[in-house]
Amino acid sequence: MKLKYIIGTVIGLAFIVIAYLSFDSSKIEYADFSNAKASGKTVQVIGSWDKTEQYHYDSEKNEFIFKMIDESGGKSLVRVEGAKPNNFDIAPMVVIKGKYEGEKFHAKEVLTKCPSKYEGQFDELKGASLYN
Amino acid sequence: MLGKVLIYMTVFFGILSVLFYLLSEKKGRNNLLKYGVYSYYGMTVSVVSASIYLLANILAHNFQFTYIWEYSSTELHDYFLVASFYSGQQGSFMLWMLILTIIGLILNQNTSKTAYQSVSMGIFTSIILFLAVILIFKSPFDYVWETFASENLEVGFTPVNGRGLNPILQNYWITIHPPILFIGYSLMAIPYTYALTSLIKRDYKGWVDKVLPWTLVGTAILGLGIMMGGYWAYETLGWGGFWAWDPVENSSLIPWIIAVAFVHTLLVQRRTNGLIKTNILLGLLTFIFVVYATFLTRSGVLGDTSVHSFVTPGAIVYNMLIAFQVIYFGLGFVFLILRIKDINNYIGKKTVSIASKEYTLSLGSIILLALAAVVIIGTSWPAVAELFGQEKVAVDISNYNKFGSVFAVIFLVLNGLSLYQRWNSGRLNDLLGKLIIPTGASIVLVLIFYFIGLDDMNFILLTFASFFSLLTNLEFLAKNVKKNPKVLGAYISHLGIALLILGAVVSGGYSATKQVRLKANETKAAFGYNFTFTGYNQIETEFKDREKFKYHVKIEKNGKENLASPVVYWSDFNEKQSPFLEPGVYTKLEKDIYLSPKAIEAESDLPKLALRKSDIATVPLDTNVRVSVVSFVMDKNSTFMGNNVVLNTVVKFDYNDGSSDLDTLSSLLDATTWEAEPAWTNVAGTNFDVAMVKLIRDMEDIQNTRAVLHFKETGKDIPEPLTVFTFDVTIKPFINLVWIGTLAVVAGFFVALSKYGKQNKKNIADE
Repeated sequence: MKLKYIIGTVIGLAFIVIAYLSFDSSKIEYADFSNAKASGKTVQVIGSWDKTEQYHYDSEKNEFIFKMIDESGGKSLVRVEGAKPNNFDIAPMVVIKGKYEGEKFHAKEVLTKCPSKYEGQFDELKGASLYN
Repeated sequence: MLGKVLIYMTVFFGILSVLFYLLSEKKGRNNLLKYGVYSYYGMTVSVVSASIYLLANILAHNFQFTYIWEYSSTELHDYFLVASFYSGQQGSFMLWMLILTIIGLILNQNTSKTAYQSVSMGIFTSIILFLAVILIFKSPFDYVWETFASENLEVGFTPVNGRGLNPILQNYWITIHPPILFIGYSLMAIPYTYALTSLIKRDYKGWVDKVLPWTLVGTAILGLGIMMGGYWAYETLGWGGFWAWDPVENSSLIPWIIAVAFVHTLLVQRRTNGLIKTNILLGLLTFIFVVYATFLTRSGVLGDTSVHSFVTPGAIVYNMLIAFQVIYFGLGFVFLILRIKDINNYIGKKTVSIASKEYTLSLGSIILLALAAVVIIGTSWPAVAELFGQEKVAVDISNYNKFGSVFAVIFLVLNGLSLYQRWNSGRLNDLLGKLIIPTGASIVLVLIFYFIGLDDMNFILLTFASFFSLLTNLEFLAKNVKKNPKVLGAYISHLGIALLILGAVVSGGYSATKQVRLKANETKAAFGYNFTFTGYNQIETEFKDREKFKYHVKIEKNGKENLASPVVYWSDFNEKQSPFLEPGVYTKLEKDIYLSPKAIEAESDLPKLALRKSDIATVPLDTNVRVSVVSFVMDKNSTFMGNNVVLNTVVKFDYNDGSSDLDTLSSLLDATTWEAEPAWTNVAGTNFDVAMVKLIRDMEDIQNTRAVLHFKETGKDIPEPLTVFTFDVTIKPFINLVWIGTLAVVAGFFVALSKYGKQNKKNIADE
């Protein structure tokens, strides 16, 4: 009876360690552009679209290019495989996943966040009110 | 005011109900039970009234309530207004509470006149009470002047319109998928309730038959809810697949996997009296992980790692959700520790043969739990890492597929194997003989797939395991369909799982995508089909807040024509800044042809030139004239008129006789696309007009910036610009197996209910 539990616990722990190591070895860290460039690894970068620069979608090459400012203020050109992500223009925050290839950051995935649309802000309330 | 009063009444009756129910368990206090029931009815009336009150205010567009202003608007169709009820956190807690309360009425009826009623109803009602308390702190009945109290808004202020619902979500699925998911979540509170009751009452056996039908229904409905989300994502949201291992999907999958394992371990205990502690633990865990799912998706801890957007609910709700998990897990765990000795005495000595059915089922359950552990570890990773002050990280979702595929192979084979085994039996001799046919047939089928193109070792193993499970279940289905229709549930469900996995492997592993860019009425070929963009038309014109278009693509092969129509629309929701896209799907039996729209562009047929500064080119309409760009001058006075900017392009025209002219072309450019409607300028002494319509800015090399000039003959009308539609064509082989498999899994659970549900009633009658 005791032996059964010991074996079970050992197998269970071994499994959790394997799962842990597997996730740990493949985890994707967050970085800013300068770190991403220096390491050359696949990372995630949080930031926003630099609205002073125009973005560009090339339907023939199927690529979308924009300039992004990361959280520490660094700027970089970002190339996205595919079309402009949904809600791109209104998203105050963009999260990209990928790595540097030359001078451009090649993003495999782009998440656009628009939290302001989920909880109301006071100025929106006024905007849609009798004051309008 | 009334809404808040009703919530307070819910809490009041909830407290009374919990107290009376629990106190009535004491010897000689049985008379208190009826007060527990009455209080429960009082609570039910309060919860239902509060829900009706909220819904009525939503339908009446009473935007005085912050919640209704945030998630609703006058433009919404009635069935989306119903969805406004649970579009935000407050309302979804409310819906959860409402469904729990209704389930509680059934539970009260079921346990009535049994020894379980007092304790079970006490525990169950306390869960409802917890949600009601959360709703005091996070109320859907706050007025706007209360929410924005610091802004000195006058009392009674009513916003003219609400902010509405994200147009992405405006699809009939939003009225179906979330409520079904919540029913599934709510039903998972029953295993917890019964497991804890069994510990408190030291009844380690009797609860199994009671909890099994509830668990079957809960697992079926939760599974259906989860896969509806997948179908929605695939069919309308255009994610390209039905499962993305997103934290929100994962957090609903975790309790489902645990519940599936629980169903199997319950069956083992029914037949063999084994796995008593396991069952109690799993009964507790299914619900704990429902709360954990709520915590992950409602607390904002996963903010950056999911496509779903989260709102941070504020410290109070955050802490209450943590307390919710800790208290209920702690309660169950403490009682389990207290009763361990007692249970061990009850079990006695027993040996389990490795060849028996219960051994295989236990092994299968362990594999399922291991899979749940992988999903828990991966989903929680970013949150836990931050908790320990680690750098923020995201997990690589390929891990889920890696572990998932290994585990799937094991449990599919175990499932096929278990069908030939007997309960409480260690005989192996006839087992091997029976396995030869399904194993051989599966190998043949895999070989056929191998020659069609199945190449990856992982996929080969998965396909083999799926076929093995499929064939064995089919065999038993056929054997029992007449003889013993009541036992069919398990075979149907497992058949469904095998089909689902087969569909996921083939559609996920062997889908192929190509981009197609078509002008109106142009035809291009991809994957052996001819695609023609035949035009577009506006839909839902009755709504003022959107411009929605269907883009029709004719799909032709061997003379057979079909239509798929992706949808592209602009909405006031994002000030029409970028379009929302929905895929168009042409479904065939063996595959889907999935068109996801990428871009709509207008391409003018006019002659054009794209010139860098100081490039010289011949004017397309007049070979005697050459044109060059001299400079760009931003009009400082008009810079950024709203979203527009005026740019003056100075161009130089050189004529054959050596003379030249300077002209200034003024363009009102859109500041994001840098495009302008043509403003035609006639070039003196020529027969053509010129306009600067687009600035192509090179972000890497400013010198490379080009101006696009359009030319037309003076006095002639310009032709309508052509619409160019760019979309991705994806072939999804056997995706239908995923949906058919899901339906079979769900149906199987309900068929199983007819077997175990009846017995349950009989058992109650026996008591």
